[in-house]
Amino acid sequence: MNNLVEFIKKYFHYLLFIILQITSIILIYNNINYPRFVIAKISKTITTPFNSGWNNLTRHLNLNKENEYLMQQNIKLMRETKNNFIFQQDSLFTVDSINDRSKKIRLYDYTYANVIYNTTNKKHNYLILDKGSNDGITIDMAVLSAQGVVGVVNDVSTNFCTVMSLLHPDTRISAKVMPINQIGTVIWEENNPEYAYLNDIPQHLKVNVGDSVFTSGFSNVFPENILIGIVKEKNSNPKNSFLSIKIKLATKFNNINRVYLVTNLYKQELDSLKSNLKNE
Amino acid sequence: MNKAIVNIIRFIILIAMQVFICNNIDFFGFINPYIYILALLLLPLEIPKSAQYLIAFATGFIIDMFSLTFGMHASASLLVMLARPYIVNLLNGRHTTEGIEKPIPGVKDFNWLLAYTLILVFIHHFTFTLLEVFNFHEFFRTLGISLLNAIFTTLIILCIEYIFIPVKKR
Repeated sequence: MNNLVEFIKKYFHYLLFIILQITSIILIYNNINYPRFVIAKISKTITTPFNSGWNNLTRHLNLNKENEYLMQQNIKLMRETKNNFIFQQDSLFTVDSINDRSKKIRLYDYTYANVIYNTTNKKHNYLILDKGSNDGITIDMAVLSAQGVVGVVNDVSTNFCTVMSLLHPDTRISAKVMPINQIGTVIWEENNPEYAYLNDIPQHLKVNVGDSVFTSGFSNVFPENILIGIVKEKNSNPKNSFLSIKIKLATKFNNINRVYLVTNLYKQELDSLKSNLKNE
Repeated sequence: MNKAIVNIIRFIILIAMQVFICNNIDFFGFINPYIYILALLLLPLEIPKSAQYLIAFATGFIIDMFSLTFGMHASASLLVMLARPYIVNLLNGRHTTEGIEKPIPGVKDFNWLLAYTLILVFIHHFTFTLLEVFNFHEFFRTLGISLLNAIFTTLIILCIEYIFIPVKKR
């Protein structure tokens, strides 16, 4: 103990020197930006590999939530596109009517769902989604994926709904082939989930391989200008006057996980008008 | 007159000169003389080392506060104080004179004073410049600048010493 006291007495000034030196270094670090920047840079180069490794490990844990947010954001953006609205304009076309936004009527609204059952290799293919009448799903709502058209809701229970996929022989989707803007019908005929056929295009029209096929918007189920597929082959059919066009579907039906559901807000009104047409 | 009072007055005058005059000197953009080191150099060697360190730190800190370089002058001054007895021993060689050392003209000859001042001032300037630059990328530039600076400061310090300290025997 005595030795220790002696030792401290003897070397006290060195201790003091070190303490004061550390004090000044701390002063430098706390008050002048550049040394702090340099030290922060050095410590960053040391810690960054660890941090990024940990981030790589943990970021997958939140993917589900992230996906949910992305879907919500997508719906928000999809709601804003022009094909969801009817623009009513005065017959008298004035500057005011261009700027007047109040005459925009919303026709389509969106929601999303997860696919919990999906077939692609059968004769009649269906999907089952995890949303039902509790979530406002009704029959004849359109189902889209991020890539394009998927199908139409054909049955609804309280918590689930079944979707008649485009890969179903009874599905008819009103389509138009661009850029000639000619209306036809998309039908799935063969047992291949990648291809479908576009009918009702007259033979005299010029359709090229690689042209895009979109929904026409006349069915009151699908909004206008949703991609269905791309023209793959065209053959002239000698029996009738229509082209037989094979299209490669945009949607990859084998791996659909999340889909968007589209509801037509004026469906009943439009349908009753249509039924009046039939009755006459 | 009491020795302590002389020392205190010397500190005050040199710090004031440093702050108000020499901090504004900026030759060629990089030469700033730090004449307050003279006060540290003239501090009697026989006072306790702890006191020497505290004085050096306080002096450096005051200069820091005026020139907004928190801690840099304090650190450099501390190093000067640490090195000072070793430099004195080195310069005295084997002829270590027991008793009171006075690093002033008259007691020591010009060469001794020149070496003593130049080495300690260079230690100070080198530490200070290194802390200011804070990297080793341009080490030789740092070295060159601090050497030039040290020569300049030494010149001024020697002038002050020979002008103001009364030489008893020449």
